Amino acid sequence: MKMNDDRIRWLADGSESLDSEMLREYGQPEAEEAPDAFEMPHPRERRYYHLLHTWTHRRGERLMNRMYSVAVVLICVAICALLIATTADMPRFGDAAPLEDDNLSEFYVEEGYRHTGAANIVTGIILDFRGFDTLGESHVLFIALCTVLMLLYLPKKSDPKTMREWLESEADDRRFEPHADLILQQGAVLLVPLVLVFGVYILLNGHLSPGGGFSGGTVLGAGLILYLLAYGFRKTERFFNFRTYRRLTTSALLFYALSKGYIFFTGANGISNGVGTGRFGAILSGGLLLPLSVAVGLVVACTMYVLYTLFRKGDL
Amino acid sequence: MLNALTDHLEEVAALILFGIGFSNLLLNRNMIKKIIGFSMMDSAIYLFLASYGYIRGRLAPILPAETPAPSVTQYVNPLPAGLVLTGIVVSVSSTAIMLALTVRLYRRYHTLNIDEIAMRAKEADEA
Amino acid sequence: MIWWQNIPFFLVWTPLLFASITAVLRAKVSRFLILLFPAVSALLSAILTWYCLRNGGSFAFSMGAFGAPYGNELRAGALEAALATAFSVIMLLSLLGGWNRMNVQIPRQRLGLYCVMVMLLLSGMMAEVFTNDMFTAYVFIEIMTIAACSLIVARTRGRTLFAATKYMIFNQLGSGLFLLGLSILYCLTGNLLMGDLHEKVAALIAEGAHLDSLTLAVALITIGLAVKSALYPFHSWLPDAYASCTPASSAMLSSLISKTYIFLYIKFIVRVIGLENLDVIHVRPILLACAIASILMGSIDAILEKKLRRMIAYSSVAQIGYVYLGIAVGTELGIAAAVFHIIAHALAKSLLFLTGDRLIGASDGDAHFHELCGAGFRAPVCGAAFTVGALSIVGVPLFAGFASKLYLSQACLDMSPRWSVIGLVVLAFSTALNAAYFLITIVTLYRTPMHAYQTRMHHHWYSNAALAALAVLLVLMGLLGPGIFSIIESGIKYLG
Repeated sequence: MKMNDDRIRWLADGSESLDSEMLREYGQPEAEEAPDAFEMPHPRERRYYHLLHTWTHRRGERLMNRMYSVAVVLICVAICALLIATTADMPRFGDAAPLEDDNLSEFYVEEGYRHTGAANIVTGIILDFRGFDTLGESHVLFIALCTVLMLLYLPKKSDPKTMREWLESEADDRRFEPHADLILQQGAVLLVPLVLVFGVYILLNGHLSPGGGFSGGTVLGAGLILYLLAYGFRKTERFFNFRTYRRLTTSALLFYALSKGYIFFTGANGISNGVGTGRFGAILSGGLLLPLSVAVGLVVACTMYVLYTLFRKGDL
Repeated sequence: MLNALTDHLEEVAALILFGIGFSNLLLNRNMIKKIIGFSMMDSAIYLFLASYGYIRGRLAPILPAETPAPSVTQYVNPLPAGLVLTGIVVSVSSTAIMLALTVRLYRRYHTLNIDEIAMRAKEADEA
Repeated sequence: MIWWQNIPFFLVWTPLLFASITAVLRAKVSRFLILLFPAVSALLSAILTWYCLRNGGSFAFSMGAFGAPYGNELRAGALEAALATAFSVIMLLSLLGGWNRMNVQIPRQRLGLYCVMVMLLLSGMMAEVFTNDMFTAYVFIEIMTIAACSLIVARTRGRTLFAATKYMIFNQLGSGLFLLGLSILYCLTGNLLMGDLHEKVAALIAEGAHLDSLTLAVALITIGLAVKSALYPFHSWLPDAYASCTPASSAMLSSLISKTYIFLYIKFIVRVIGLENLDVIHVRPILLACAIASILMGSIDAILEKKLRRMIAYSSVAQIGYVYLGIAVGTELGIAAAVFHIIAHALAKSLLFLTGDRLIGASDGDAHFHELCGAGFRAPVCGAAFTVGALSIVGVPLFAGFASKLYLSQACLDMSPRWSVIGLVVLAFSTALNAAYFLITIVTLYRTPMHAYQTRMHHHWYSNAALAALAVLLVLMGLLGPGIFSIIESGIKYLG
C-alpha cells in the first residue's frame, strides 16, 4: 500500500505544457466515458443479462435464432462447395503447368540472385524486388502497435481516473502472473540465451538460409517474453522501457524507410545506387538485405514484446 | 467435385478450413471465438496461396553457396512464399487489434457476448 | 525520368517516412505536421495533374531498379493525379474544420498517436490511388483499415468502442475476401501487376478457359471491396462508425477512406478486367442490383432516422450506390460519372459531417431533430454551409451534386433500354427521397426554437474558413462541371 501512495503522489504532479496551452485555446477537454470499472459482478446478477435471457428464450425469438444459425450454416456450406467446385477448374496441386510460360519465377530463380546477392530467393523477393510491399507491411505492424497503445496503454502521469485503472491493472498483474517461480526461472536461465542467440542467428542469416527479419524478430521477441515471465517487470524495465521501445522502433523504421526510399528513387531514375552485392554466399553479402533484415527484426521483436506487455498490464 | 478432392487435396483442405472459420465468425456470439474464426480464415487463405507455390519434386528456393547456376526447373515458385510471409504479419496485426478492442469492451460491458454488448451500447446511447 | 514523374513516389513515401517520426515528436509539432502534409501533398499533386494533362498519357514509376513485372510499380495519369489532389484538399479541410472538436474530444495523451494515424492514412490513400500492383493494394488496404479503426476509437465516448469493433469485423472480412479473390486470380494468371493481369485475363477469356474460377475471383474481390465501401447489403457497420467518432474522423472516413476503396475497384475493373470483358464475368447485373438497392434503402433508412449524424451516415449509403451505379453502367462515360460523383460527394459529405456536429453542439449536444430547431440562427456559418452541402447532395442546379446526377443519368442511357429506364427512374425517385429528408432538415434548422440554449461554442476563424472553402468548392464544381468532367474523361482514357 505504501508503494501505491508514492505512486499517487508521483502521478498527481505530472503535467505537460501542451495541456495548459490547449486548455487556454480550446477549453476543457471532453470527459472520457466513466472509467472502466474493474470489479466484475457475476453476469447473472446483471439486468442486461436477464433482459437478454428472456429475449432469447421466448419461443419466437428462439425460432429466429435457430433460423439464423441454419441459414448461416447453409450459406457457409454453399460458399465452401462453390469454392471447392471451382478449384477443380484450377491448375492441379503440385503441377508445374502454370509455370511453363511464367517468366516471373524464372527471372526470380535464374537471374534474381545476381541482382540481390541473396542465396535465399524469397528474402531477395520480399526485401528487394517487392520491397515496397514489405515496407508497407512493417508499417502495418507499427500502426497496429500504435492502435493497441491507444486502446490499452495506461499512462502513469495522467489524471486520477486512469491512475486508478493503472493501479488496478498493476494489482491484477501481481495477482495473476507467476512470481519467482523456481522451475520457470531455472528453465529461463537455460533457454533465454539459447533462444536469443538462435533469434540473432536467424536474423543475420536471412539472406542465406531460411529465416530473415520477421522470423528472427519473432524468436527474439519470444525470448524477451520468456525472460519477462520468469523474472517479472522489475528486471526487464531496467533495460527495456517505453523510451527504449520508441527509440528502437522509430530509428529502425526510419532507417528502413530511408534506405528503401533511396533504392526506389535511384532505381527509378536510373542512377547507380553504389551498393554492391558482395561475394555470393558470404555473411556480409546481399547489399542492403542484411541491415534491412536487422531493422525489420528489431521492429518485429519490439512489437511482439510490447504487445505482450500491453495486454498484460497496459504498460512496459 | 470428386476430381477436385483427389487432385486438389491441399486447396480443398484450405477451403474447408476457410469455411469453418467463416461460419465460426458468423455463428459465435463470443468475441474471442469470433477472433479465432478470423485467424482461421486468414490462415486458410495463406495455406491456399502457399499450396499453389509448391511443385512436386522440387527444392525450396535457396541456392547452394558453391555453384549457383540455378534453373527454374529445380526450384518451387518463390513468389507465393514471399506473399504469404507478408500476409501473415498483416493478420497478426489485425488479430492484436481485435483482441485489444475485446479487452476494452470487456472492461466496459463485463461481457464478451456481442449481442449483449450491442444492447448495452444502444441503451447507453439512448439514456 | 523527368523530374515531375517522381512526384507520385514522394506523395506515397514521405508521409510513410514521417509517420514514424511523428510518433516520437511532441504532440504540438505533430499537430502542425498533419496539416502541413496534406497541404504539400495537394500542391504537389496539383502540379502533377497539370503536367499529366499537358503531356497526356500515363507513366510508370518502378519501385527499385527492376521495373514491372518483377518489382512493384506506381502508375500515374491525369485521373489519378486529379483524385490525389481532391483527396488531399478534402483531408486538409476536414482536419481544419474539425480542429477544435478534435482537440477537445481526443484525450491529450492520444493526440500524438492520432497524428500518426492521419499520416499513415494519407500515405495509404496515395498508395491506393497510384499503385499498379494488386498485392501492394492489399497491404495498403490493411494500413487504411487499421488507421480508420483507430480514428474511430481515438475518442472513447459513447459507442465508439462498439462501432470500432463492428468496423473491424466487417472490414477484416472484406480484406479476407479480397485476398482470397486475389489468390485465385494469381493462381490463374501467375501475375500481380495490373497491366500484366489484364493481358492474361483477356487471353483466358479469349480461350474460354477457367472462366468459372475467374468469375469467382472477380466476385470475391467485388464483395470484399463492396463490404469495405459499405454497399447496401454490407452497410450495417457504417452508421455506428460514422456517427460516433470525432467530426474530423467521420469526415475523413466517409469522404476519403470508402472513396479510396471505390477508386481501387474502378482501377480493378478498368485496368485488370477491362470494360470490354465485364459482360463475360457477369459482374454488371449484380452490381446494378446492389447499387439500386443501396440508393433506395439508404435513403429510406435516412428518412426513418431520428438523429442528425446517423441520418447523414445513412445518406452516405445512398450516395455510394450512385457511384456503383456509374461503375455498373460499364462504359467510359459511366466510370467518369462515377469518379465525378466520388469527388462531389466527398466534398459534400465532409462538409455535412463537420457542420452537422457543430449544429448539434449549438443545440446543447442533443442530436435529435426536434432539438435542432433554430440551430441555423445560433450557428450562422454552419447553418449556411450545411444548407449548401445538403442542396448539393439533393442535386439542386448550380451545385456539384446536380452536375454529377446529370452525368450519371447521361451514362444510364448507355445501357440497354430496359436498364436505362430503370436507372433513370431510380435516379429521379431517389432525388425526391433525398430532397425529402434534407429539405426537412434545412427547414428545421431555421424554425423558431422551442426553448433557449446555453451552449456557445467557440471556433477559430480557420475552422470556419475551412467550411466556407468546402462550400465554395462545391459551388465551383457545380459551375465548372464540364471542365472537370473533361479532365476526368481524358484521364480515364489512360487508366486502362
